[in-house]
Amino acid sequence: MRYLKRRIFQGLGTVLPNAWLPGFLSASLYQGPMKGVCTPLLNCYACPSALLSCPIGTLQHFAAAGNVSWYAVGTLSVVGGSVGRMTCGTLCPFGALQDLLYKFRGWKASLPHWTRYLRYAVLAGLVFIIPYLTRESWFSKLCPVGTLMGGLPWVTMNAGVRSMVRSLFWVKIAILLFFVTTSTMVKRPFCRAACPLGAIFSLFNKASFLQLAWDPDTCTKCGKCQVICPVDIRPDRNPTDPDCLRCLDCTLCPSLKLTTVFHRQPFGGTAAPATSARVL
Amino acid sequence: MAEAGSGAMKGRPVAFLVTAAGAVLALLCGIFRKEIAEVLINGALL
Repeated sequence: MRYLKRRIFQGLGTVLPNAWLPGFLSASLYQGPMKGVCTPLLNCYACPSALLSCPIGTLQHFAAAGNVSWYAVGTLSVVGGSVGRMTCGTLCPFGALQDLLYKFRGWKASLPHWTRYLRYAVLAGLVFIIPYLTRESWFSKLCPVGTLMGGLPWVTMNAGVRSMVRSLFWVKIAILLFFVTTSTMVKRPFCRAACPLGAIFSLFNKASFLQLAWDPDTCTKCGKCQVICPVDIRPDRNPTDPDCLRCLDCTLCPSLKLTTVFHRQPFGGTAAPATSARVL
Repeated sequence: MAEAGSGAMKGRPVAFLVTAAGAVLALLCGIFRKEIAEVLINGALL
């Protein structure tokens, strides 16, 4: 299996932040000290088994109170500054689900380029501006990850919660079904067009410590990197594309490799060969 | 695109260092403002 290592990491990214299994047995939330830690993943903290807090939920909570969570901003900046969007590609549970759904055989389509800007609108509008104006966490109310990991388990387990189901719940279900359905046809539609956490991390792709390097001397422009890329980009055209998840699937090709921002000649070479390698 | 050794490439480590310093400052600011307690309460009492 070509991508076994990434699948193992995605499994760990799904299981470890949600390892509080007594939460499902007792239908209660984990309330220990680890809930004070923001996970660098879109992982719903209303899930009965969630050990860590959602960074987007935290940002919204502070925005709704008229504040900025420097703790969440700092946590995401440290992670983004270190690895860029790598947590999206290697750890995110909802990303893993979308990767699996795309494996279904059937009609496939590509996402229009302009849709990548929608995630910044979601970040600005639903995470900061609307919560600030309405004092309500609107992204959490509509988040498909929250519906899958928090809403559905609670409605299934708890009759009290079930009795509180109103039309908004069915809107959330419709949003979840939309992304589940489109994931079978389009590569990672939620990550590319709607994820506010991906929008934050994508800002760090150009200046993160880990970088993707491309060697123009060996690249044949065959385009296979785009075929295997989970977000349908050409890393040989722009290895620091904000859409790049740093999943490293494309590094199966010897013309692409992981390096660091301080490594001037990631592919070796002689002294001062300014044209031998491009790190973008 | 910027080639290795070009001006843009030379600026990238600096951009990283500035980003890293800002990230650590923001994190420390949040910790000193005792935001972890509010994050914990928000996460535990949804």
